[in-house]
Amino acid sequence: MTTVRRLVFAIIGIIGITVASAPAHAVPAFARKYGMKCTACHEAWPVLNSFGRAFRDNGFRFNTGRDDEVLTEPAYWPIFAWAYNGYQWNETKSSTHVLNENGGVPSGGYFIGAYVNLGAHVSLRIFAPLLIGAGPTSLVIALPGWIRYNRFFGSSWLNLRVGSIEQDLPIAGARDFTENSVGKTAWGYTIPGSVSSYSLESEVPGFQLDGHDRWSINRYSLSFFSNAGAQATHHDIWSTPSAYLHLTHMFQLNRTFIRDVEIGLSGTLASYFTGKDSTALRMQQRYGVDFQQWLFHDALPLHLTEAFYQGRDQAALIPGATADGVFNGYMLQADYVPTVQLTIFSRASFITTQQHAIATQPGAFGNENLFLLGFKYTYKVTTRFEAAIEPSFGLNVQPYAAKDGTELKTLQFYVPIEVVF
Amino acid sequence: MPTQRFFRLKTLGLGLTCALPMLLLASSTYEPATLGAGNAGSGKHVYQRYCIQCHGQFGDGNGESANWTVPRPRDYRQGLFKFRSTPYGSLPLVSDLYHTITYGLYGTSMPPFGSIEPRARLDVIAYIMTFSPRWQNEPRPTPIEIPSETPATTESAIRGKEIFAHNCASCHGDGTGNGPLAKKTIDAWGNALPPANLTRGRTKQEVTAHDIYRTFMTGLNGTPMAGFANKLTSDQAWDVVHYVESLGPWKESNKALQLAASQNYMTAPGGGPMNASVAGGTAVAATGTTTKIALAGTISTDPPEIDIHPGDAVTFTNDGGGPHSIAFYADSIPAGAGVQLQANMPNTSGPLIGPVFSSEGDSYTVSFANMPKGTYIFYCLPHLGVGERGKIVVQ
Repeated sequence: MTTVRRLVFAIIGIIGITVASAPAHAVPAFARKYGMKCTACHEAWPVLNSFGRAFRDNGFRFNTGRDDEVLTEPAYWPIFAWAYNGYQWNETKSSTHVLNENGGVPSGGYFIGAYVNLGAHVSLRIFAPLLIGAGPTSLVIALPGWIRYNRFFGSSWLNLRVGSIEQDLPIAGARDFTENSVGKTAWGYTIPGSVSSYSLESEVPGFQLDGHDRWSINRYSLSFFSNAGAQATHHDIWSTPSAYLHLTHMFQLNRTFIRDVEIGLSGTLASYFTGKDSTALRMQQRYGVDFQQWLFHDALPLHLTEAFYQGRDQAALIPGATADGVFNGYMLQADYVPTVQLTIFSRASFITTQQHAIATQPGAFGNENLFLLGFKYTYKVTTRFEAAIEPSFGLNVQPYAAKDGTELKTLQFYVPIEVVF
Repeated sequence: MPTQRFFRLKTLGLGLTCALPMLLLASSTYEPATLGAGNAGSGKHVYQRYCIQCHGQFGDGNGESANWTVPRPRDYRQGLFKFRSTPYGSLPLVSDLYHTITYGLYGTSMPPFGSIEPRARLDVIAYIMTFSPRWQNEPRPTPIEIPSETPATTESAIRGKEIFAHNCASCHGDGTGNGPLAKKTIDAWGNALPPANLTRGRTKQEVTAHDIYRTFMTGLNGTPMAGFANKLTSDQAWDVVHYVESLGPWKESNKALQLAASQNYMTAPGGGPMNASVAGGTAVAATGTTTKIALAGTISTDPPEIDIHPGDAVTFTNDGGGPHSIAFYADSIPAGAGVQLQANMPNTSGPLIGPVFSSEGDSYTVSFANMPKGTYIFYCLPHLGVGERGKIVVQ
């Protein structure tokens, strides 16, 4: 291996190691830079609206000749900070027993980072660890980073990002309304027993080619990444080569009832090792379709998201399996925005097992029904500082998952307060 | 199960079958063929989400971010909009505002909003119209006609240069925006507004020859850039467009225009304002009577002509119509009068060019003491395009 190659792998590896968490956040640094409110780009942060998505697709630029840092307001500083914490109540129970119940204030999340535009083509997200506490209980959190070259050959269809990749999904793991860990999207599912914890929600280290037309009506995102990240026991991050493709097309219908409709197709092939090295790779497959509709109003929409996808893990990834594990995921999400500051969100995700990997598993084993309901109210202190409260209730129901073989229910009520600066 | 199973043609075929129609779909962006009225009530919410932080709650351009936007956000209350297809001073068409909202203004803090749905853009235009009574009180303007472009030749650019030197160079200078008035140009709201640098190949909203022609002929409301639709013919305007295109990497600039640019002919013809040598005089205060001339920035079908005597003064007053600036043609005053006239014009911003007095009620006085008898032709620099000029005869 050449020195250059080692260096590249080392850099990407460092980035990969930081991909332990994929936090959701808004970036008030952008609001400061462009003098805009968070709500200009976010339906409710961190969920992007069409304007914010076009901004992101352009490498966090408006391309009006004023994207360079030096041209913005003198007081602009591209650093942002984000923190959340609040009261959380959890209960886990089987059909016969309450297995766990607790309430209190968990450790929350504390982040600091920066988005920077350099010159006409380069955007990057950099990160810095934030240390909370001291000694062995200290909490170190870091945002994953990336660097992106925008508009190869002057074309918006050719952009390249290297580093931590957020897979292009209607609701990416890093862009959910809430920090509630229960009631996640169907894309976060992993087959029980599989040695790979890969899900579409994960941020992963790798490369991402993406492109779009001028207003992001047609888009594509093609990622080549490492499923397992930079595992210490393997040579480099390419020990588990994987790819993800998402194509979307938006119809701006301009009707009173239905304003915009978007259809997306996605597919991924992810590999994972079953032995000590990369010679025994086995595959995971996910492919599906997603739909979004924005109804009634652009600024205050009823936003519906529906998704269907099928996943398959090869039997070799599931100890004791005699067949591939196959499941179907369905999801419906409805977000209503009655005012610019308030978003009410609800979600139902259903996972059904189509083919059991282990023949003795009962029919509904592996199924999951996930529900989420909550709202997010944001308060703009200034364009430099916003706060939000986001109470939510999540429920996860898994048949046969309890130790006694009965249904396992996990409930979470979480009332965090978030601040972004 | 072998890995190859995951690459089965069946799966690949299914994916391609679904993907190809999407790739083949033409853009489904809805662009209204006729831009009708939006819904102001709905537009208010659009405004609150996307616009309020700069343009302010009351549309006064005093939003929270206004202090660090360049230039300051539009104050909607006067109904003055720079980028239009309508004559100077007129309201814009809905399609003009739609264009600005969709594509933004290059080099400014106004981003492009083409990614939000068309109806929302029309709704917010309807809401913006509620800020000024002009939208209710004035008839719908007719856009100027833009005739077919004349051939973009070297000769056309050279002709355009002559017109540019007489009408544009006092602000735009050699095209970079370095004219003698450049540092003093302000808009109707009193904000500094440097002339556009035309050598960069694009300006805020002008990219094509069509765009340059439109702005040249319609002017920019609320700024010293007056429209020339009533002063120049369309052929002359196209000549200016071709000259401007010769100055930089404009989208439609061609080799013939670049050739024109390579010829260094940027000297003002006829001893005009650009090369007048009038320095060195000493101001002499007026001792006689003072005559007033009101400037309103309108087309002057009957240019003022006044008779005065040596030692008198003339006071020009701003009676509306935006900023004014009095200037004299160096070749339209008595021989040898330039040095004394320059000295008698306070606070000049260039040769025989007075300062900008922007607010209604402001005035500017020129003493004609120690001046030779003869005819002095003056003009208002920002309103030259609408023919605001006149004659002072010292008897």
